[in-house]
Amino acid sequence: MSTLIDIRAAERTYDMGAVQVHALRGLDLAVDEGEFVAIMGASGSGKSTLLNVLGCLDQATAGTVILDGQHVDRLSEEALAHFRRTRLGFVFQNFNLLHRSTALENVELPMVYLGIRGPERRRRARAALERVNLADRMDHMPSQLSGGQQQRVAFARAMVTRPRVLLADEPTGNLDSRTSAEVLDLISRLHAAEGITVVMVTHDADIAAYAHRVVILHDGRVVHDQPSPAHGGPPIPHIRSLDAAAADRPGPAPADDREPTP
Amino acid sequence: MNLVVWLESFHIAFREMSRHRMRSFLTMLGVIIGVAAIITVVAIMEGARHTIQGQIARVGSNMILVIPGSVSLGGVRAGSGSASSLTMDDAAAIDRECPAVAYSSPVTNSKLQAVSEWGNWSLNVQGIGPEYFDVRAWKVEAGRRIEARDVDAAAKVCLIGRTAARQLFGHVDPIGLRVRVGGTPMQVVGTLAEKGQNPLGVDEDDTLLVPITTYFRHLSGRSRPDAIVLSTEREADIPQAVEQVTALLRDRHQLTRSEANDFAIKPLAEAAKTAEETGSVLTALLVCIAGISLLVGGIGIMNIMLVTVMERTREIGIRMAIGATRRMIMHQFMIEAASLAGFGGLLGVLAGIAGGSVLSRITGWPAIFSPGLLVTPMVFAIAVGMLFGLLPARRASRLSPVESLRHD
Repeated sequence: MSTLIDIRAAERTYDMGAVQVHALRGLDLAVDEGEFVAIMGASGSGKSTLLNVLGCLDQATAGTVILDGQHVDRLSEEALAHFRRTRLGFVFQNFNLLHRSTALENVELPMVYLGIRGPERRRRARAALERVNLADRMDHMPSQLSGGQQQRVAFARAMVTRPRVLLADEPTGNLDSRTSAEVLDLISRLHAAEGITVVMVTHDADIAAYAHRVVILHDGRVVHDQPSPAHGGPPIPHIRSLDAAAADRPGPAPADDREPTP
Repeated sequence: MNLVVWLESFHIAFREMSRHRMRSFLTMLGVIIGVAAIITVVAIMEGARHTIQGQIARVGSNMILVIPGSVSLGGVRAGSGSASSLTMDDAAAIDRECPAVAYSSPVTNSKLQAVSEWGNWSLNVQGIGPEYFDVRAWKVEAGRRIEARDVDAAAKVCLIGRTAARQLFGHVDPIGLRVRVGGTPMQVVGTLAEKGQNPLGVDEDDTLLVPITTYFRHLSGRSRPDAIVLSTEREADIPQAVEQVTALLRDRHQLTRSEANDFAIKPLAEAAKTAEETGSVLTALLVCIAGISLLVGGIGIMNIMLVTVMERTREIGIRMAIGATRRMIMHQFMIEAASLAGFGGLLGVLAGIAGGSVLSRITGWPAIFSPGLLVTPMVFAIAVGMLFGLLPARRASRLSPVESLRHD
């Protein structure tokens, strides 16, 4: 299997005036095509920054980031937008649906930016919604849908363009445990059926257990990278214990490591 | 930039407008008022200009009026025309000695009672020379003109206007019939083509023309004309004609260098031009004021677009994450601003047509809505919308996708 994501010595430094905040400090990560990876870490560990860099919403300040053979760290903003449009699919914790548009229109949206015409767009959006079992909710507004249904619309929107990578940022963070299980089953099903590469950020070991591989970040570096327990790996360590172990190691003060909040 | 994204942008623009109807309407109000004001003012001014031009053309745009000047007695100056300084000999001399003058005729007129077999009617009786028809560009509908031999012989003949004919003869053909004017019987030899009202609102068809000599001998005791009317072949000859007539009359009236003219010369085209210039200055001024309203409307659009960009920061982040480029976001908000202005412009055009029609009814001037008049302010409104939409659209397109996605 070929390497789809290849990140080497990635750094992401935020210049907050007087202080420099290092969100990623020499992070290395390689993900093969078709993998299902969970990324874990305490808040401030750099997992959101990593996902933004992987999602081409942000760029590393140093190191190399190669996605699907492209040096995305060297691309212009215009090219990054094109890359997102054609090869990436996003699912967010708070769904991020356009609340003034129907479920169908939300799923059509990525195809608008691909320049696909109305009838074809609607046909494909309907098919995508049928695949997530929302055939009877197409004309509903997000406010008329439950959290689980909204997240399924978001999956349909992310998958409708057949991306190379699905990036999920705490996809079950706003859902109860039963709905979370449904959504995770959906991810597993999409992964199995379409062979898509999935990178999912979570802080919950139970959620991470659905993935095939678990990567744990601390202080902007990878500190654990093993198959998940169900795929022959060791038990997922408790993040708090990793934090404590890391705190014993010499390094910069953790106060500097918080991700900036705008 | 592909068509699909543009269509989506228009779709969003109209959805947002219908979502915030009141807010959109208030935002558009400046543009609506600006466009409506421009259209109303220009349509009415155009109508007025058209009306005046039509009237001037009917009077004869190359016509020059020579009237006796004011007389000054012991420092008390009477009004113009109070001195009867013009004579029949002056009229003959102008005809003879001024090459720039194509046609000329002495004129007198007064209100007199005319009586026919069918009824009587008070009308405007004018004593004229044979070239009067050429000066005024009046056409004879039936019969003949008053000719030189009628003037020489002081013949008791007359031509009659449409209104006068209807009042005195009803539907009977008046040619060859008799009418008594001020007690003198005259034979009708011709009828005048219809002319309508002159710029002063006088019905030019309510008239009766007689040879000026007949007028002097039978209708009044006077022997001097009220005015001499003349015309040139071309409009360009008017200054030369004025110069020649002035020199001739000063010479004939034996005026010394220090004495003012005892007559006045009024080219009608000049008066028309003055009126037109005044009109266009006024139009330009009013259009400027309306243009300022349009600009203020543009500022309103900018303001509301800045608010919209703030409110929809999350939406912008989502669109960027999904693959919209900064340029696509910029175009989306430019299209929204232009749609607001364009829709406002459309309402302004309708309001302008309504306003022009109402004003037309009040003033009596026609309102002329040329296609250019309806399209130009509309295009201008859209341009204003795009200009003032530029800043909010730039702001939207420069948002960071990561931060926008976190925005509440």
